[in-house]
Amino acid sequence: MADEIGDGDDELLVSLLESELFSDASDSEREDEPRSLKKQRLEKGESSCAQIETGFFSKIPPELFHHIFKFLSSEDLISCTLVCRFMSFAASDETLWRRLYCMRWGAASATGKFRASAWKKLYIQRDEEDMVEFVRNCPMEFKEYYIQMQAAKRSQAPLPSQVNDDSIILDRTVADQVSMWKSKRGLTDDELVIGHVCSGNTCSYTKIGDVFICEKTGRVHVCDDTCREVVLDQSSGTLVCTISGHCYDRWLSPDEETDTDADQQQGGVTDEAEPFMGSGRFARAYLLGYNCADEKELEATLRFC
Amino acid sequence: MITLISSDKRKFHVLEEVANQSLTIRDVIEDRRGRRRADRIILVTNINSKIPEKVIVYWLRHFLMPEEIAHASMSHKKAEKLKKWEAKFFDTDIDTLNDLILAADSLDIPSLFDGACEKVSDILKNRSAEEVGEISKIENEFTHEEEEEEIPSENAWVWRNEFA
Repeated sequence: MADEIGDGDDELLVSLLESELFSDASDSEREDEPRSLKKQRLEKGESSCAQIETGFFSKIPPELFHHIFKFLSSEDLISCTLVCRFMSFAASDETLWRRLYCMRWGAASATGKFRASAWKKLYIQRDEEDMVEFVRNCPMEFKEYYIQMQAAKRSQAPLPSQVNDDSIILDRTVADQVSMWKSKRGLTDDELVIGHVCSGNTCSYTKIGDVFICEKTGRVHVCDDTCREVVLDQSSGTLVCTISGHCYDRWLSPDEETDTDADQQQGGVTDEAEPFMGSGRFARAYLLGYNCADEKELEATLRFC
Repeated sequence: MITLISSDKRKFHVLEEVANQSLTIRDVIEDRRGRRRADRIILVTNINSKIPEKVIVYWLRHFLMPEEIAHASMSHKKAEKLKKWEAKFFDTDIDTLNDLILAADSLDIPSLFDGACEKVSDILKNRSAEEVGEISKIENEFTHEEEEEEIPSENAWVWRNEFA
């Protein structure tokens, strides 16, 4: 059956593309699915709220919401937060708020890698401080306008050219290094490369510290705790960044977490009983067998492990 | 020429060079290179037939304007034209957009994915929570008490009345 379909294809080879686009396939007997058809992305949503069950967005898997929300301003995100539990979780994403924070106040003013609370909270706090400061010294009769002016800053959304570029979250020294590299390469900041979307699968990158720069466009990827370029590696079960190759622990759902705890406890018990801490059965066998002179001696030794 | 088969058993014939815009399909073809023609059939089970039509239209438009050429010599006018075309292409209902996002994700077509996501986000822009709920047809699941206490304290801006 598969061959029949194949022969049909030969005849179609020369025909025009568009006229051949839509034909019926009641005879499709061959079942063949691309191996990696569905990329498994970060399934972080699971841990607090699985997915939206009703409405238009119910089809979209939780890990993709980030890609929609990254175009929104802080004000829009807050609106989404108030809609339902899942949206609240998805719209409070650290990466999103970090970018918004750095866009408004710059990365240098953030407290480096160690910060007291989540980026969203930082943003709202800073916004409040700014508002108080801004309004305190203004003339009474203009107070209303001052408040509106200040509130308008919350509706600043990232530009489409910014959403895939991490350069806004760089601090100044690194940003300088990056722009030096870019000017050496003849890449300008505002150059638009149409149709090119950076991805770990297609682009080659230059590395400066934590920072990865696409050699074609000069777009920046910062690979740290808010990295969102990760995909789930099927064989190891860890999250791997497609750009840097960094591995991250997967976010576990509550069920999984209890499982691992139980496993670890069991593991702990057996570890105590074993004379060789920290190595598995094969490693021990290897160690024991290392000094054996012949097969016989080896077999005798291995009885102990 | 390769053949895509959608979940409702419709067949789509596409030139390999065109379908290569999907990184998933490109990988699959690469894996099967040198084998018989029958191997050029790819079943896309998670996508219904309405979407491949749109995806292929998108591919064809972008195939006529490959990235490299676009980068080196595309005039401003042509870029504008492509932009206009894309705006029209994405001007559709939210259901179709969602399907496009899913298709672009599973087939790994980055530019289409970004375009569709941006369009959906445009729909969400400058709305109140009630409006977002209405558009997305999500029922508010927060209990009354939660709505009164917990939620606002977490997400409150400094409201203007505090100063006015």
